[in-house]
Amino acid sequence: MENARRFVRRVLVAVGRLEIAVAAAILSGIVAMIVTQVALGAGLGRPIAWEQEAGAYGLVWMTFLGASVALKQMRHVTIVSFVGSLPPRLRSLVRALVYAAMLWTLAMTMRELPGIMAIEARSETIALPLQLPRSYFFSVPLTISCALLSASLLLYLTEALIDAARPGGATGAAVPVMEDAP
Amino acid sequence: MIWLLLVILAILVLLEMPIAFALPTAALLYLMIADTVPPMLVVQRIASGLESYVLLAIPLFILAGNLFNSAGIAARIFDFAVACVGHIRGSLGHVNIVASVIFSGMSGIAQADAAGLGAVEVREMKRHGFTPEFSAAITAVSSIIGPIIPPSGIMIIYAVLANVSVPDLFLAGIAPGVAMSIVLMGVVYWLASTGRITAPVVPRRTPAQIGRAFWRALPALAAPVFLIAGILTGFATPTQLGALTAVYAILVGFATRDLTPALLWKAIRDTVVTCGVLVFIIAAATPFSAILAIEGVPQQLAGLLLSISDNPLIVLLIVNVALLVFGTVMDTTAILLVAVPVLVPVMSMLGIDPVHFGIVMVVNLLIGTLTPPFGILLFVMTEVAKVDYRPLLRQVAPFYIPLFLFLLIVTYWPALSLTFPDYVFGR
Repeated sequence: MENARRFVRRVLVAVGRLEIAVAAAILSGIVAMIVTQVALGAGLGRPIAWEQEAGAYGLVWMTFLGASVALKQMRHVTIVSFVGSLPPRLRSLVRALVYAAMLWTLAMTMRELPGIMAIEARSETIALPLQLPRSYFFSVPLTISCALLSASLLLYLTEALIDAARPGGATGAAVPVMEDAP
Repeated sequence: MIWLLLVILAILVLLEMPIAFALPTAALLYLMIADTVPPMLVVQRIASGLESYVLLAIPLFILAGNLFNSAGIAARIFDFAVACVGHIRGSLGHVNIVASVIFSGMSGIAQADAAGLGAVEVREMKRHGFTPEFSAAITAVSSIIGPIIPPSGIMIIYAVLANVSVPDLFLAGIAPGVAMSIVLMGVVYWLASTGRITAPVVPRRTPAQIGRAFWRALPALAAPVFLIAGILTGFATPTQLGALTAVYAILVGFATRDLTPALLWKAIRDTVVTCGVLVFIIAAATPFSAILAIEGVPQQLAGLLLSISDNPLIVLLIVNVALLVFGTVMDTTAILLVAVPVLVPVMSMLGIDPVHFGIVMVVNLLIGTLTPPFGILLFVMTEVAKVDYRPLLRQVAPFYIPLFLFLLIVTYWPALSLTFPDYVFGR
């Protein structure tokens, strides 16, 4: 069981690194595109017509990938209340309950996404050089993000339950999948 | 039935569910119980809610701020502020505020200011004999100037939600931001004069020393000038200015040899994750906001407020008190996402300018980041300065009344916010 848990963590770390690399590439691409747009628009009077549309789509992908990394690093904004002062076993159980509720939300969202994807696929991008279904920039990244978030949450849920059931006494600790590398 | 939505949200937040998940979870649970609209209608808005070129400015300005931090600009700004105001009674307390005003032209997020420039400020203040608690307190307080002076992440979110111009809001924030810094410097001066804080004096610098500090800080000082000039001339949109500022920061960093490829990679990585936290909340809040709209909450709230009074001054007072209360227990972005669609129509009915109301909301919510029990900046500073929460709170306390009074000034003196944008845009 312990080996399986470690293996899953290693896989999630590798996935997290890939997410960061892709999101960083998108961010860099956006910056390069905008600077080129300003140079072409102001300098040559030939602005890129699709800059704003591509930028907005890039933001959607970058946000959803970044959200998954943020969960792996446990950096999502949380209001610290009384949970930290609960006895360790109860703390782990409350955390397990919260993770389960988050998983339920993602499952409910994913249940609706095929229908939304079908609707979005009927319309295409407007100004991009390639005409692509709009679902590639809305429901598809959201689906991928939900799946990635669910994977991390499943691990956190399992670890919280294992901790709560630990025979020698629970620690109540929650360990991020990824540390923010220096 | 709408109270149920709020109760569910409160329970989830108290159980320490991240805000970005608590908002959609509350919305979906409510829809299951109330069965008012199909969940697909609200889920559909999660991703499409981010389809905004204006919102893209947020990660770009975060990137610029991270890059300036990595490029050692924070230390140069601090040195320049020491040369300018370090000799005034209160010394590095004033320096801290002035440095935040200068740094605010690069980073639009208070937490980034507190954690980036704040680390330099606290270290230097401790080195000069200030207590760690006061150093942390003044850093937390001065950090809220950042999002009032452009660029500002919170203003961009408000602009998108309230459908107002980002340049208008950016320009409207300049005078209140500068005025707030003067108020805070006044409090520091009073604290030092009455012996309530230990503020070792820094010798007055010679003109030559000031000139050297200015020269070293010039690349940083040029960034806000460049930004405001860009807005005034309409040379580029706020989003484009964000990208240009980021590229400028890279060039400055490499030119001064303070920025390495490893630091550049770290700045990009941090930006991506911060975007995943901050912008993700905007997406995740759309189901919640959609339910509020579907249930007619803006109209109900308008009716409620107008039944109490149709005097804009009283309505503004009620709204300010309510926002301050929510600000003590909720995240700034979450409040903005829920409150703006509800409040802006009411304010328009009362003839209150949405740009002015935007500045009032921004100042109000930023004060909320300093108020217990859940002021995010207080928690950031306990980490940065390694101080305990309660002593820090005691040092922040003298700033509350001046900040509340300042909020009243911003609220009841619209000209403070609106004169500059009206003048620039010829209204």
